[in-house]
Amino acid sequence: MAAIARGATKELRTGRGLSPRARVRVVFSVFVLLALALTGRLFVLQVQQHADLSRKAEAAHLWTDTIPATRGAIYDINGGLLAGNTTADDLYVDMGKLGSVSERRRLADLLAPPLNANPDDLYITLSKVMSGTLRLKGNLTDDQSVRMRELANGWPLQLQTHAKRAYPNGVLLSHVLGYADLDNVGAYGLEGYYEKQLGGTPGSSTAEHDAMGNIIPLGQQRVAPPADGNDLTLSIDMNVQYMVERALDDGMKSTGAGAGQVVIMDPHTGAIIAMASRPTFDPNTYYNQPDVSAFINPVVNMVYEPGSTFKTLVWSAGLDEGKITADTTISEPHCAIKYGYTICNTSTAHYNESPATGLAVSDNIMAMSIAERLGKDDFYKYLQNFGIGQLTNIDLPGEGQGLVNQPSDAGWGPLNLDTNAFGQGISITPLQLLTAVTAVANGGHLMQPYVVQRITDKQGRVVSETQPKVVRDVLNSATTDVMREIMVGVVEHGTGVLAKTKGYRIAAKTGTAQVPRPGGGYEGSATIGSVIGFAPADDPRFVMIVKLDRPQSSQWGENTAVPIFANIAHQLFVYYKVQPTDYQP
Amino acid sequence: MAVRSLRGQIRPLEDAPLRPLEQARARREHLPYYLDLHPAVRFLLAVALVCAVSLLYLMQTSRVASENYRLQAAESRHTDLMRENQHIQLDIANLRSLSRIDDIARHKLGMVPVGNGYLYVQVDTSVVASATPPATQASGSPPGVVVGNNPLAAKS
Repeated sequence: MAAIARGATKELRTGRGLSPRARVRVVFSVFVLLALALTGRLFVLQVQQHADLSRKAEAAHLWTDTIPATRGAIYDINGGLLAGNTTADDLYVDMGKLGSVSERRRLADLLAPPLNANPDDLYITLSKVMSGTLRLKGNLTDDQSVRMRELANGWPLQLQTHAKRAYPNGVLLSHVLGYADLDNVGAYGLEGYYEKQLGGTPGSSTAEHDAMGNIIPLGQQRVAPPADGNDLTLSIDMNVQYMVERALDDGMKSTGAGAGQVVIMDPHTGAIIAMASRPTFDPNTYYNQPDVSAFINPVVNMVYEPGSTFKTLVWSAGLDEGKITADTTISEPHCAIKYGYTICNTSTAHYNESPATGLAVSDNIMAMSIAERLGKDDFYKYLQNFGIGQLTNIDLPGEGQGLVNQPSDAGWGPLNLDTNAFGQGISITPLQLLTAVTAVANGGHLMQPYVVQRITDKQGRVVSETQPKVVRDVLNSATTDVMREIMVGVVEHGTGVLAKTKGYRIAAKTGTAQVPRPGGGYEGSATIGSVIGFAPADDPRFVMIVKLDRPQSSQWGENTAVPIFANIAHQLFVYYKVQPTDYQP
Repeated sequence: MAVRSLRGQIRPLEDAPLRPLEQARARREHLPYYLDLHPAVRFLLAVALVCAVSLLYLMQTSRVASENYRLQAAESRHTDLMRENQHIQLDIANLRSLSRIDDIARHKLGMVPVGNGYLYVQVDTSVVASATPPATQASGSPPGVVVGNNPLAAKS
């Protein structure tokens, strides 16, 4: 073949024409060479690069798409939507198609007004990236999306739609709801606690696609459909929640308190009707919250020293054990010296004082006396039965357990019994105390609190329904009958008098606790004002706790928390159509 | 009588022995309904049959493809409608938002909270009970006339 080529070249050089046979040979040789080259190339492609190329080819037309599951909605007890789903667009710019500096400047000027952005800042952002795709803004509003779609006709703008969680009531119930993040995954509150129920399971579709991205009908296709998330129906009543949050806002404004919480529970079931905390956040824009501690629900997650509201449990234990009766009289000095420490009442000495009067004036010395009559074993046994220092097992994340030193603990001393009797030296959550006092309101049954009443699937079928659960019986009904009258006395002629309401018997106990220092001891004038109670006293419709942190207008709970309690109670009487008794206009 | 061998050669039947396939063919050709067609006709018929089957297959494929695109369009529309439904639900929830209603009541309609200004009125329940019209209507009475001790009903 080489000889033929040489001969042909020679013939060309000499200018003589090639014979037909030689020409055929030349052409044949060229084809053979081409065939060899093609064979070599085919070998490289088909054999050497087979695995890599076949993978690339497959990836070009056969791929798997994730089919997202629709996140379950959250409703209140009346079916009002608290958390739903919507979509939002993210704005991207194809920087490779964006040309000169002047073009970037013009685009920045064009985008700034609809995006509510500074044109210079936008220009700087657009100038930093020269290639690839730049995510310029996420979660556009509907108006912004419409405007961006218009602009996308002449500019290299792209919009990508994604699912987004929406909370139509803004800050309402935010600590209970939590939020779903940008990936639509729940965090904090119910969104986090019930993530498996709400989130569902995404599906997938593996299929061959045409050049337009459409699935080829007769091609390979495997589809695993998504399982949508379940819906939650809460025991919370949105109307009551709104009343409570408004009353709390007004109360905090008038008292100058730095923080506050209100919880309302149905004493017969343990269902939470309202749960409010301040400061709060808007779950729609949770990412604007600089301090993540704002997402923590203080009612469930944070502990405090309850102060005199705790006496409700001590009086109940004393009555239930028969250590005191409604007719018992106790004489106590203004101050008592216990184990070298002087403990005083806020008021003067009391002589021949009944338990009712003692609770009405919030007598610390009587509290110690009752605790000592009970003895450490019975005292702490009752606290344990009331669930103090234990989880309530409410269906909310990160519940605090609180801390109660038991006599068997190394840190416990006899003084603890006395200080614990008026709510010092122990730490509990507001929810724990509310749950414990619920037992006083309902005849002695400790109920398990809950927030989610029902879980349903997307077809409306009930997946699970929460049934009221009695954790244990704590008090005799005779004890609760006496306690009810004693607590009514607190409102009628004691520290809770600001809650007194014409026509209604309200049972309550106020509390003013000092704020412990992290290193030990208590802060000077800072207090936590609180009140806990139930109404109507004879057939309670609700149990409520109001707690204000560091009120400024007064350090006493009876002046700060009680008016909020009364305000909410009045509204609830109307809302629940509770008829007044012995009403005289 | 002659038979056609497997190679298409015609030979007399008496040139036996025949091979099994040739015997089968011979038997077939003796059948009364045997259709003796020219090979060219057979070929054309076979081509026509293949064409018909291919056409049928193509039509079915085309139909499946077109239905699939319709299905995809319907699924896309379904997704859009679900999304729209979610938007509408949220719009309803936004419009029902208590803070919005409160704001309108206070600032647009000039309403004020009732506060503690409730007045409960004692009502004589026996009067209310007697004023309640009975549920039954007497036979023979004209429509709208209720028999009972309700004075308003008696006047009508």
